This record gives sequence, C-alpha cells and structure tokens, in this order.
Amino acid sequence: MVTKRTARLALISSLSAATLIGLTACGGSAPASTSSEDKGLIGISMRFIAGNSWLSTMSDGALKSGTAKGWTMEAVDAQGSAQTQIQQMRTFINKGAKAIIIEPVGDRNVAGGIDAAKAAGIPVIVVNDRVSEELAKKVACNVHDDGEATAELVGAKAAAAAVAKKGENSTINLYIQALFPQELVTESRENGFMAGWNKYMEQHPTVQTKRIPNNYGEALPDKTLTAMRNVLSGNPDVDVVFNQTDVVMPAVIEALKGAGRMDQNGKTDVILAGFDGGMEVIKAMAKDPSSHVVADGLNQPALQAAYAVDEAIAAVTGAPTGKCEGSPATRILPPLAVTPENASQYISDSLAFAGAE
Amino acid sequence: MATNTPAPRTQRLFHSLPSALSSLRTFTASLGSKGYLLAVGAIVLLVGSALSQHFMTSRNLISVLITASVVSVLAVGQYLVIVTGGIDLSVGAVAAVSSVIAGLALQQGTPWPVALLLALLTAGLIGIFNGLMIVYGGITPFIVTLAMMSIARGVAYMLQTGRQVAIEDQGFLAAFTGNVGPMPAPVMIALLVTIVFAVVMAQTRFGRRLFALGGNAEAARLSGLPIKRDIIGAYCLSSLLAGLGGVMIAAQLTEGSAIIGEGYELNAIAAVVVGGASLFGGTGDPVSAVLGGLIIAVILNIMDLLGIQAQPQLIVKGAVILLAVLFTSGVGNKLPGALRKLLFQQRYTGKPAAEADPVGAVPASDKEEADARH
Repeated sequence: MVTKRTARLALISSLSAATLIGLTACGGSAPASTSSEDKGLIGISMRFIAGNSWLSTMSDGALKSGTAKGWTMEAVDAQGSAQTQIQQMRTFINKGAKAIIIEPVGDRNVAGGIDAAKAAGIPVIVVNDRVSEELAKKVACNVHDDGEATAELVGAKAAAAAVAKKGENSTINLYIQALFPQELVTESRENGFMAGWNKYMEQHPTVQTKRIPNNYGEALPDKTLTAMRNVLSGNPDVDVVFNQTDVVMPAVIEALKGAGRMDQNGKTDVILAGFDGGMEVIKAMAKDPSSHVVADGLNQPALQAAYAVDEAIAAVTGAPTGKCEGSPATRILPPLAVTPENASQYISDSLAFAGAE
Repeated sequence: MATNTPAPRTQRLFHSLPSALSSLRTFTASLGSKGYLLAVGAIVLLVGSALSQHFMTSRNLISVLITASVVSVLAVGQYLVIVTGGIDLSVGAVAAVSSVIAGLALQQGTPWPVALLLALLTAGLIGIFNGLMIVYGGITPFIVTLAMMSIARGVAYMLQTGRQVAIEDQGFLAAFTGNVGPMPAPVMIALLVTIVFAVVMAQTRFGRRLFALGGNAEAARLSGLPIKRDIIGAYCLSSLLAGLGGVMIAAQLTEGSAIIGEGYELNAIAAVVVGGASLFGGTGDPVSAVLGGLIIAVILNIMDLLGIQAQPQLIVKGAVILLAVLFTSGVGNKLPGALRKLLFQQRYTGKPAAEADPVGAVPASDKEEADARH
C-alpha cells in the first residue's frame, strides 16, 4: 500500500527532477562530443572545465580545432581528481580513442593513465600544465606556454611605465596580488615578473623598488577584493600592482576605487599589469591608449589547445608537425605580452581569454 | 611583636592581579556571551592599534566593515537555521547563483529593482526547496544543503557560461556600494538586517517558535507549534539573505560570478558559533553572530596589515574560533578549575599506593578495582 508519506516523497522527487532537468536544459550547454566525418575519436581530459573559465576556453578551443579537422572530439572534466583523470583515460582507451589529450591534474599522479595509454599504443599529448620529466618522455608531445618568460616581458614593461611616471631618484612601491601560497604557477609568474623588472631597473640604479609583501586571492574575486583592501589599508602609497590573473581584475580595480586610488571613471596614478589575457582587460586596454593596465601576459589557451590537437593528429597519422622537438618532446608557445598599443589585435568576441585560435 | 605595616608592593600586586582577573571574569560572565565578545573585541581593537598605525584609520575600519557586511548578512541567515538545530551549507553557492542572475538580468537591460527581485526570488525558492526536502523528504539538513551547494554552484556555472558577467547599471551600483548618510550602503544593509532579525528573534512569535524548535523539536510539535512551516521559513530566510549577500558582493565586484562565495558557508557558521550559538540549536542571537564575524574579520585585517603570511593566518583563524567558542559557551570560565582538577588528580593517582600511603592502606574504590582485575 502506498502511504501518504511515500506519495509525497515521490511527488517531491518528481518535481525536483523536473526542475533540475529544466535548469540543465536552460543552461544551453551542448554535449562536449561532436561528431563529424569520423576520422576517429580524440579524447580530452581536463583538470577542470566547470568553474574555470580559462580551462574551459582551452577545452572549447580543442573541440573546435579537432572538429574543424574532421575528428570526433570528446572533452571530460576530471574535477581536479587524478583518480578521475586516470579513469577517464582508461574509458577513452576502451572507447577506441586514437589519441588522448590531458591537461594533467598533477605532475606524477596521472602515471597510471599515461602507462595504460602507452600499453594500448595510444599517443598521449600533455597540454598546459607539466608532468614529471620521466612521464614527459613517455608522451608524444608536451605543449605548454612559458609563463616565466611571458611574466618577464610584463615585468619589463611595468618597470618602464613606472620609471616613466615616477622618474629617476624615486622609490617605487610594488605589490604582487598573488594566486596561491607556495604554488608553482604563482612562483613562476612572480619570478618572471621580478626578473623583467630587475633587468630594467639595472639601467636605472637611482630608482629604488620597495616590495610590499604578497597577499593571496586564490584566483577568486571576493577573496582578492578582501586581500587587496587590507593591503591598500596598510600601504596606501602603492605605485605598481602586478595582478597575477585577469580573472580577478574587477576586484583589484574595485579595491583601488574603495581606497581612493582610482576615481569612478577609472582614472588612477597606480600602474597595473595583468596576466592571462582576460578579454575584458584587453578590450579596456585597446579602448584607452593611456590605460592604467600597461601590460598583460598572454598564455593563449585556445592556441595551446589547437597545438595539442595538431600534435595528437600528427602522432596518430605519423606525419610529424616538426614543431615538437627535443627530449622530452616539447612544443612551447612563444612568450607574448600585450600593451595598449597592440591590444586591438587580440580582441575576439568568441574568446574569453585572448590569443590566436 | 606584631606590626600593622602594609604588605610589600609586589605582594599586593600578586594578590590584586588574580582578584582583578576574577572580577573581570565575573563581570564579563554577567554580561553573557555578548560580554565575552565585547571584551574580546575591545582587546582585538587595542592590539590592532598598538601593532599597526594604519589600523585605527577611518578608511581601514570602513574597509573592514564593508568586507564583513556580506558575511554578516549570511551569518544572520545561518543563525536562523542553526537556532532550529539545523545547518545551511548552501549559502555560498546561493550567493553565487543570485549574483549571476542579478548580473545577467542587468545585462539584459532589466531595471535593477526587478533584477534584485529576480535574484532574491530564486534564492528564496532554493531555501523553500531545502526546507521541503528536510521536512517532507526526511533528509537531514546537512545532506540537503550539501547537495544544494553543488546544485546551485552548477546552475551558476551554467548560467555564466564561462564569461564575465559585468555589471554597469549605475542605479544598482549606487544602491549597493554608495553611501547612506555617513556610512557605506553595504554596512547599512548589514546593520538593518541584523536589527530586523534581532527584533524578530526577541519580540515575535516566529522568533520564539524557532528557539522552541531548536530547544526541543518534539516538545514544540506536541505543543501544537507549526514546526514544519517554521523550518521551511527558516531555510527560506537563510537562502534569501544569502541571495542578498550575493547581490551585495556582485555590486562590490561590479560583476556576477559563479566562483564567488566559496567557503562563505563556513565563515557564516564560524561567525555564528563564535557568537555563542550552539550547533544543537535553541541558543544565541543574531547580534552576537554578527559580532563574531566582525571579530574574525578584524583579526584577519590586522594580520594582513602586518604582512603576516597566509599559512599562519589560517592557524590563527582556527585558534580564534576554538578559543572564542570555549569562552562564549561558558566552558572557558570553568577551564582553569577543570585543568587544576585534572593536574591534581594525575599527581594523586600517579603515585604508587604504597608511596601514597605509608601504612599500605588501599582506598576502597582502588581495592575493588584491583579485585575486579584479578
């Protein structure tokens, strides 16, 4: 006999399911897999897709690039779990994928997936983040940008703008709005930026640089806003801010406004430098030649993805691109920093992060 | 010959310090959990002023208040749920989804009051859904709101579709980031929310019923109180306030974003428990929850002003929560006595029986224990 409680539960469950399906449908997200003239399947396992707009730009770029070349592409989200990524790689092997592209969750912990693909004779391409040298030698190609070299370009341009503004015999207060404490990407961007900054300052020995200790926003806008507000309270005379990701640039700008260092029209005497090529930042730079953002480092997620697809196809067809070289086989994107003068070249309405497609 | 000379100064100090501490403890205890919060707050302010010249500036204090305003609003909502003996883990995700909805609506040219209404309506509906699942689905609040945390975040991601949802509506920005008199709007909103719900909890039947529900749900039900309706109401209000918090942070960031509000649920819970509420329900008040959140925000601000690294900040934050809960719950008052007792007992029982008693007499209880072992 169906009790009243059971009936109610069934009703609630049905309503919930209907609501969820409705919401899912409203989201307008198409399945990651797209079939075309079936040259074969290329599987892509991303560290994250949901919740990471930079990585979802990369994933979309790979799907678009592979589909345009006649391959069936399927992208899956490992949600930051190495175990999930290994499982996804095994699933691709079982589905008969011709090649697998991974944006690895960790440098060593995806070894099980790479070994399984190697045993099945399926080439693996590693994109963006790196794996250990031992694993890197087992894959067909390692595609990544040179974050440190890009940050070095940004550092040099920020230093030039700071010296031009403050002049010789001045002290420049430099603050880096960092991502995560003791994390590789954060450190490489900081080291690169400081290398470029210091190299420029060697030619201006009378200029002193005073570093304000880093604070960490974990690439989250609200945490960055709090971190920046606190830093600006203690250091109201900051001159230069290197914001390590454009994802949180609105938070940095709002904090400057709140501290009275920027007016409501965006006029400020603080020099800003960014990274990642967030499209809104690039558009703002292009719009105003005297933009407060003097340089932005591009790591071109869509281009990295396209290179990874090219290398995957090359590994399957046996026709090398000739651009993945060395041991471990590596293809590196050239470093690139955008300035207000050339920002208009990088504007695209189809990308959330600037760069070639 | 006995003399009437005064005791030496150090001796007087030795005697007066414990008595002063005791008086302070009695005084703060008489004020209840708010007394401890105010005392801790005063100490924190003094320490902050001593350590950083920038701390007591109006700009810094206003900045701390603006930062704490969002968590304060969320903490009041969280309190309404915790007082019933429940918990709401979905508030951070609800804040994110309402920020994205408000942002998208504004981008479509919707008038800002309508966009605000849409965001709050969505948040309220999520809360009603949580309440229905708890009351009629028979699922524990922890699980329902944990699931909703994931669902709401997923919906926010899908609505945002990876793009920045910039907010440029000046009316909306002025309403949530401008000044109301001498104070910034977010601070005034948080203040208003706190006062309204302090009155609701202290002066209305609904507030009293929430206390009764948290104190003993079964007794409340047998007394004929509408506990199902009240639970749904509490979760609806919690989500509604989370939605308001989301809109506030969206205005401060000039964007709606699916990645905002991560960890806000824990910050709100921390604020409530530091404010002296019990997770078992039936105690506390919204004002204390807000004070708890403020103390945490001020301590983090001081550490940032001093340039303390992120890792030790986490340790300090955790320690502050533990200590604050110890004292606001009243256990801290008994702690010195309990420690003394523990140390004394260890010393007493630590000695061998023969050493403790030269004639070899074994206390009755020890003898029984020894017999039982044999």
